[in-house]
Amino acid sequence: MNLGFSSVTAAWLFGLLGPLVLFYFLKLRRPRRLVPSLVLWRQVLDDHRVNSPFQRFKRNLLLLLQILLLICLVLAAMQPFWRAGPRQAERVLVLIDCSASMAALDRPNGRSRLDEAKRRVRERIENLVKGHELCLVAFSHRARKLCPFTNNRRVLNEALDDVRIEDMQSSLHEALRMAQSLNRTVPFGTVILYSDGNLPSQVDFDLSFGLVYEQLPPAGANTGVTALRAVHHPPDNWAVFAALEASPGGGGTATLELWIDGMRANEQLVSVEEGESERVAFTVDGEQTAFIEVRLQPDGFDSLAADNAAFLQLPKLRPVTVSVAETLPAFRHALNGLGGVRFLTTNTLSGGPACDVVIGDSADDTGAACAARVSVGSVPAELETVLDMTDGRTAVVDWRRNAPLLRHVDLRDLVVLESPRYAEGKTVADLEQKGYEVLVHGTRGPLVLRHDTPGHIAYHLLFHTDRSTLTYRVGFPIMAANLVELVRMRLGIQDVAGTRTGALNPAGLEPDTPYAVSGPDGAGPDARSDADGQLRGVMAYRAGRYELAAADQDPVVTGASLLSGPETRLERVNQIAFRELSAQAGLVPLENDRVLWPAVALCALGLLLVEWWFFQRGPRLAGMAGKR
Amino acid sequence: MSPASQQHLTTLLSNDVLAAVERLRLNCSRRFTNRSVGEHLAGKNGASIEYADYRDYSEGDDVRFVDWNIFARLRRPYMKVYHHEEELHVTLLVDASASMGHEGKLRLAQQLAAAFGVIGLLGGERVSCGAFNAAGGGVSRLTPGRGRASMQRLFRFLEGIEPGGDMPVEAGIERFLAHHRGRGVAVVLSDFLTFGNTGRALNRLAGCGLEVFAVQILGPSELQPELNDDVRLVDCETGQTLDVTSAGELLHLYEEYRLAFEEQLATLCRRHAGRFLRLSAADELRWILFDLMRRKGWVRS
Repeated sequence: MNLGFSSVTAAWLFGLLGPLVLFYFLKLRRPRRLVPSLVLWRQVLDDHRVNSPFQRFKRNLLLLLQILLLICLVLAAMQPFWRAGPRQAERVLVLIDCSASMAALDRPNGRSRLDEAKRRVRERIENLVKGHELCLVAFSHRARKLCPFTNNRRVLNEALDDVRIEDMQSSLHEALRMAQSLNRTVPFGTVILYSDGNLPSQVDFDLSFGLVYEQLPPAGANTGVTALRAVHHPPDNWAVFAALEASPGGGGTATLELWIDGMRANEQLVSVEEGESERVAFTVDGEQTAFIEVRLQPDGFDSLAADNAAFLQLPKLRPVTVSVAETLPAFRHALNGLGGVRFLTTNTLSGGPACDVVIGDSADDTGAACAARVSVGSVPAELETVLDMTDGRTAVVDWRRNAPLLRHVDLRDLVVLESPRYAEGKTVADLEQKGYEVLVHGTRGPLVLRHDTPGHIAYHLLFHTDRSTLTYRVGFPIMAANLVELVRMRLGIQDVAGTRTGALNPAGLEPDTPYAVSGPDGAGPDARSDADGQLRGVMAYRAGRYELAAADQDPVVTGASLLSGPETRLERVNQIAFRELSAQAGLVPLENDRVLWPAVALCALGLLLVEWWFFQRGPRLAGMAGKR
Repeated sequence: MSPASQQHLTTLLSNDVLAAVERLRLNCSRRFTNRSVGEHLAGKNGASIEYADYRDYSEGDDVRFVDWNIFARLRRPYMKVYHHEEELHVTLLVDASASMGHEGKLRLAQQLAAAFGVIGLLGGERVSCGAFNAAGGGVSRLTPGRGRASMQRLFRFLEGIEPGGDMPVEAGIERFLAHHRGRGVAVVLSDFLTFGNTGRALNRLAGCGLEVFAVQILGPSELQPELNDDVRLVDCETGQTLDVTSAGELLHLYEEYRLAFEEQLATLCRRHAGRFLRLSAADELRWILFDLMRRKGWVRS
């Protein structure tokens, strides 16, 4: 039985039927009319009753109408509703996808997917029956509870109005985690997910509640920038790469413009095919910092605007400064052949300028400030209880081939005449406990360690390169080149990726200075730079230009880009697989519980009008009806 | 009595109406007459002055009626045959039950009875009258009279009729006929609204040699009732009640049944060579007497 009542207690009003019937018959004192004879009237009534099987029913038609009227009123007071299905529960959690793809329009100047989702949720809110509650949660890469479980339509509608697009990739996992945590405090049975289907097809999550996946109609065609990256292009240039993709049904020609510090510098006409990635490259001078913006202007309809611009903050290019101990000529020789490396003649410890890389075989070098350090032939002081250095020949057993330092480096058949070994009872776990990672394993112990700390990375070659065949191997200069590239990456002058939406972390600002942040949605909360001149915790959920303004200073312009292939391609997942279950998308909107009391009240009004008409109509009208 | 009323012979008919009525005669279609000599020509040969035919002389015939001119010419005796004038008995039957007391039906019935009585009396007929208004089911009757001398007696009788009782018209007719002698015309003035068998009573009238002149008098509310909604109808004679729901819806049916009832009464009358007329109590008496009834052939000048 799908019929339910929100206020069953109002059924006691049916007890009024008794007094109604009683009063009807008590009050039913028909006006008496003295007539000469009943002969004709009796014949008329006999004939009419024979011809009309409902005559007995019609005799008390007014009473019947009044009973029906009262029944309708009582039913309306009981607030009946028609259950849409067995899934209906008293508490329903509504997850609303507000990721970037939900801003896609279905046609020019049409409705966005979020508008459609809001319309459906609002309809559900309007049909909310007494005793049933909704809780709204909006999610993109994060989940945000908009309101607690309530059946207050005003609260729900206001919460729904607060849902805004966040130009981020959606994370269903986050939303489900929030749902699970809510389920612990306020148990509910059903979660309804409103999304355009731009979700992962597999989610590693155990569903502890019923999930109804309502997929919104697809959006129109879209083309956008899915990647923006700049790579150091020796000697002093940046190669800027932009990747363009199109959604199913999209593609076509477009113009990609390159803007440097607010000035249009270049443009290319590109053609993007559906299902393929078009790569566009620009060359930018690296002698100065530059704020790069690429703008895509499709020639046809483009349903999503957020992915038509991408931003990139390019630093000024400079050479990597290296300090190499004089006892390690092999390193100097290997680094000398690389471009973009400048050797420092004096060591930083002796009061010289700070350098980026320090390569030494003395324990005295460990205190120097640098981005990367390579110590050769010594065991770090904090590892002296873990490792022992012994003489003896050893060989390489295995090495981390995917470590940045050892990429393309072959260490097979490397001969080392020193043999670092674990101390009694010590294992690799003791090294890892102290924050060291073994990159190269020898026959008795580790040969190369990496110690990574924020702002600094240290490589420890536990053997002296002069007592090994390493410097004679082809892999040695490769390792030196890897080191320089690694440092360039650390310094941010090797490879710069476009800034994505989420959080802005601009550096190079005035230290400890308040900044007013304004973005595409207007002014946001103020932020304060730290002692290093970096601004942290500035949320940037909308793609576009952001301006950081401090008092008495020129504003700093930066940007946040969507740069998400799935969002640009408007991918649609019809089935989401969870650990044990899967949710199939429903393309047809879910039926809501239908509130029936307005219809019942309307019936009551209709009955009232019929009764009034029946009571008020005159004999002339009846005579006319008879003639017809 | 006011001076104006002293000038009238009766309260039922004004003097001018009475004077006009005196010139009218009943126009009977059949010859139900008394054997006594009267002013109506009988179907058989008689001794009136109105010539009818010739016939051969038979032995024993009154020689006073031999046409001697023909005898002189043909030498054979032929008898002149004259119409026989016989007396007509006009019977006035007034339904004075309680139902006739509504909306002036009885008043019109009394007036019409007075008019028919005057027509009969001044036409040389015997006029008798009966009224069914006795509470116990009895019938008030006026013994037959003749001539102008009986006019006052007739008026007093008719003026004294008061409505009441619940006697059906057919029962009243049968009771009246139990003591009735005479053939002629029976003018029945009633609303005929009875549950009984009116046809049997009309048959009895015809069987007694009375040509039926049936006048149905209905009130305006019976002809066009104004009813709607729920109403409880009370029979004024029997006190029986009838609850009618949505009476307005049934008016068309009522109209059909009333017309059918009229047609049924007219058919019964026609079956015995009688006549039927339905009147409204609101109809004007002059129009009825001097227009309607003349056109219908009930009376002649």
